[in-house]
Amino acid sequence: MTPLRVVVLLRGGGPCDDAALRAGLALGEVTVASVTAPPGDDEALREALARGAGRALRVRDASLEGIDYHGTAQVLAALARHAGFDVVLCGERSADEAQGAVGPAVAEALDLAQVTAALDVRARMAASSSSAAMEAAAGRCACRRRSW
Amino acid sequence: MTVTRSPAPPARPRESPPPAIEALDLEALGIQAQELRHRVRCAGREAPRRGGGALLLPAEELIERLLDERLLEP
Repeated sequence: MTPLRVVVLLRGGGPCDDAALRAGLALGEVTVASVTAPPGDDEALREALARGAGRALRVRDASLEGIDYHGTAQVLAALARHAGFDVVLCGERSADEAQGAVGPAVAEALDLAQVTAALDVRARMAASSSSAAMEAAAGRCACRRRSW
Repeated sequence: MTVTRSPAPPARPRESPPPAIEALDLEALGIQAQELRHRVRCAGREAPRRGGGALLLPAEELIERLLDERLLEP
């Protein structure tokens, strides 16, 4: 069975990022991704790699300085597409900005259904078909079905 | 609906050092920097919030924040 490809979008660390990463590592193979304006730092990405994420991607660009959540989501969605995914997870809100807007905006940019303010995420393979249904009840997440 | 919390995944032993962080630029993702330029003038700009975005703020702080976000006319 092919493991789920999970992209976890990190927003600077904090308890919500931690929850999303934890859920992602329980689901499948994790790629973590983040976007920042300079100077930024890679601490959250390094920690995620140390905890078991298989790949880490980041964009650091001066044009990201002071942009709104929609612009941030546009870049994060592009990173998720670049990585390839079955599920995208992100924490409910970042520790400092706390708007909780980026996750839904990423789902919109990817044209995916989303579950918000969830506490846990499970994946269950459908017993009678070749498709898998995502049972989502956790982390802020965007989901889509995939074939196994 | 029953919600259960998944157990913490076990630490995965690595036989090799963690992979390097892959740095990408916007163009590699098909995004031109100029596409984002107007985003600095939009409501909902990302900026650290005092108190981690707490919903309960002193009135003056809330007004200051709404003015800054251009959600309130001066």
